[in-house]
Amino acid sequence: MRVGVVDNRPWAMRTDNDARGVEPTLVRQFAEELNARPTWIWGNEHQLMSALELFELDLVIGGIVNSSPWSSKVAFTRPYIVSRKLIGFPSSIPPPPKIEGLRVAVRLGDPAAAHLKGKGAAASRVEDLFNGTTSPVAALEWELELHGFVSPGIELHREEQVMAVPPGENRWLSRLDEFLQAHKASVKQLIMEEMQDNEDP
Amino acid sequence: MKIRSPYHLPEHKEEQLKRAKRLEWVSVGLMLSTTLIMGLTMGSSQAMYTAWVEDCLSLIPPISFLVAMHFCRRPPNERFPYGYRRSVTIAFLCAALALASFGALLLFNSARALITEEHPTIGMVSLFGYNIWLGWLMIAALAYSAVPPAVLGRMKLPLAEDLHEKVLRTDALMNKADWLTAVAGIMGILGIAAGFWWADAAAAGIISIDVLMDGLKGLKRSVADLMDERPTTVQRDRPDPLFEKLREKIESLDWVYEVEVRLREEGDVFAGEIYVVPKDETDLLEKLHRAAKMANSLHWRIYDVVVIPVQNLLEAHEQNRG
Repeated sequence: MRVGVVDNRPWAMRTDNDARGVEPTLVRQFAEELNARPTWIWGNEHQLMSALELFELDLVIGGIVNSSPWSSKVAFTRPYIVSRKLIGFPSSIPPPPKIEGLRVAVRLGDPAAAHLKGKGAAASRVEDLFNGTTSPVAALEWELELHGFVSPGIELHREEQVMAVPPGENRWLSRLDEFLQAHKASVKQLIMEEMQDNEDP
Repeated sequence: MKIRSPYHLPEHKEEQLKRAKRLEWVSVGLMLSTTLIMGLTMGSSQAMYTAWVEDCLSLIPPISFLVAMHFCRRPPNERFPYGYRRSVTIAFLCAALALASFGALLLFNSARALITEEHPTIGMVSLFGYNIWLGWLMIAALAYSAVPPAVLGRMKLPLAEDLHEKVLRTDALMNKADWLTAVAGIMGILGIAAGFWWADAAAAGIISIDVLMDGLKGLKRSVADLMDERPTTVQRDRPDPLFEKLREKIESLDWVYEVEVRLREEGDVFAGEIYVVPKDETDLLEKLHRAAKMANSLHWRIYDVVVIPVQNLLEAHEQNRG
């Protein structure tokens, strides 16, 4: 099984030529069900999707999202989890009633800065987000959970995570899709484990 | 300006027309439901998309029929001394044009999908907690979409023939042929299920050819009508026998020496000129008046026929050439 992998924490990470992360774990399980052995091929999304479109790969993983423009060229599974970017508050500070005018820390280069502006808050762009900060931050919900930040659920952005297979391979797609839907519940756990492992040096 | 007197359908025909209009309203409603259902299950199948477009297009003939019926009842006035009866044919022309152009567009789309070797992706959906392949839902939608038009077509056809409504008849025939679209679409999806990626585009191609042919046929018919073609039976296979009947009836009058008739169809009714060579000129006005009355009351389809006295029929031809 030729699997294209995009290095994208926590979905997939390259370690000594092996793949680890949420999606490689799922794919290994899936391959076992099919009595197949996955071969990992690394690259960026464009390279891998182009290969997938031309049937040179069987599967592409690595945090592919449903809103990706590749959806018209290759086949996406149904989303197996939704990742949300939320505003989180340190447990020491009570969340304010509204966010207008609030100053929120955002990673440099994160589009969440624009989403904050859209909601009336101000963004302060920093390189290291969770460095003993006491200001509210904008980050993925599992990052917030990991660092003990509390979120009242103010959503800045959401993406649906999918996996990609070649176009028109409907039986293959259905098989993978069924597997993912069946294992949806365990995904959150896998994400938290992966994030935990990465925090520890 | 001498304005034509308004046209009135006989009682029983009026009833049939009401029925036809009801059926066309039902058609609009049912076709809307099929387009909605097809639209929901469409996905990325070329065949489904083409079938869906065809269903949308099949709303055009009944709508244009109903709109035209509304207008053509209006009595003639100063601005339109010949009345509004042509509106039906014009509506039909517009519908045929829409069908022909869409058919061509769809055919082009299907060909492109085949040439670029597009592999359609049909995935799974979850319905009431079950994982179902979208393809099965598509087949169900296609099967449903075949039923209303087939039934409606069957009901409309005899009405159309009784009323001599060519527009209605063409609409009915289109409806009856819709089952072909559904079958083609289903074969396309089954082909994809079996792994033949080209099945979908091929099915779409067949359906689009059907639409294109419908459009072209409709164009031919409505153009012929607008060009005042000689009256034909509603099936368009031979000249209408009413023409001969009228001619014979006038010829049988004792004061008539020779007669020539020229007729055209305006939708479902006849209008035209009768050239009469009288044996003598006594009481000519009275005779012409009675002849015109008789001609116009001969059949419910004869609307506005004028009787013109001429010295000889050759002169009648020359009159027109001059």
